[in-house]
Amino acid sequence: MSDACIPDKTLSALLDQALAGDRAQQVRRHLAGCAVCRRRLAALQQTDDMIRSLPAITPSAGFDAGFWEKVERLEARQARPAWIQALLGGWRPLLVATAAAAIVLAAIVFYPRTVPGPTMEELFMVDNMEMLDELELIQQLEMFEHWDDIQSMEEQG
Amino acid sequence: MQTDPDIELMLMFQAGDQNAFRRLFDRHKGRVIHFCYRFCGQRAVAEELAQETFLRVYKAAPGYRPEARFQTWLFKIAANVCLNEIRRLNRRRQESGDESLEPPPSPSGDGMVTAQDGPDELLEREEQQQMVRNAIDQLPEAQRAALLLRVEHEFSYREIGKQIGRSENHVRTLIHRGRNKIKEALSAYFGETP
Repeated sequence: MSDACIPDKTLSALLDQALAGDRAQQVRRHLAGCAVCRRRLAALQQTDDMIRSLPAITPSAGFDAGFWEKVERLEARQARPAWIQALLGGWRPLLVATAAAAIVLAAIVFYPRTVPGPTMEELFMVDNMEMLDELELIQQLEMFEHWDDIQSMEEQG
Repeated sequence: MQTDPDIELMLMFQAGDQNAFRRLFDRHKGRVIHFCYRFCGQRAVAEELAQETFLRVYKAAPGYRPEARFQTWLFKIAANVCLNEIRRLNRRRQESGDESLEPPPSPSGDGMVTAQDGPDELLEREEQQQMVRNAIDQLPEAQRAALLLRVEHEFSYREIGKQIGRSENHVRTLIHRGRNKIKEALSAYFGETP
């Protein structure tokens, strides 16, 4: 293949008759004198021939009937009264809205229950704190009980 | 554009003539099934896709405006249906990692046996056709669509551009690459090509 040989992309376009007139002429002139490019073009042509030679399939026996059934179903859907179509057409958004509402409701109802309760350790701590408060209160009461003694001690001191 | 008899039929159908649509369906169903089959490699799927294509034509009739050849429009729909199906299958395959979703190897021997062929020739031709099918199946979707639309259905680059939503220049590249890949895959059959 010489430097002036035709790029594959151009040969491919030539095969598809997609080259502008001048360019096509130029390529054909080159091909007339270049056996390498002629072989490359022939290989591309052969590729197309092989694709075209693949056996075609014919529609199966039930193809037409299956299609017309689908058309009938489509027609039946379109022939429904407008209110039914609206209802059927609107059932999806309605379902989504209902599901969303159910989720929100469930969250509201179940959220407090799902908050974990105090552990035994926490309950024990609370008990201790209550006991501590009670102890302080008792100490204060004892202080008031001996208030006169305390006062006289302060006066003497 | 008005001289396209298919457009006339489509406009008749738009005006309420159901028979016009039947004629369009009968006239083009074979080519559409063939395109879908070549694209996806499975007869049952191809027939489903072809039915879906005609159903879309049927539904689109009220808004139909003849802006291109009827066949260009019809195969634009068919190409879209096929590309969507292939992408959907690829997505499912990726999500599930399920090898069973791989398309089965294309069937061989469909209508190719002739009385003149000897067993050796038959075997060789069958093998060659299987290689061509495999090579087509291996092409990226856009290359496959562009190449099939060009080679088997003879649409122009401009029409293929409209059908698959690419520029004319991009179509040229897609077809060239697709053709080259198939040529390389079949190099054993081309003798001493460079």
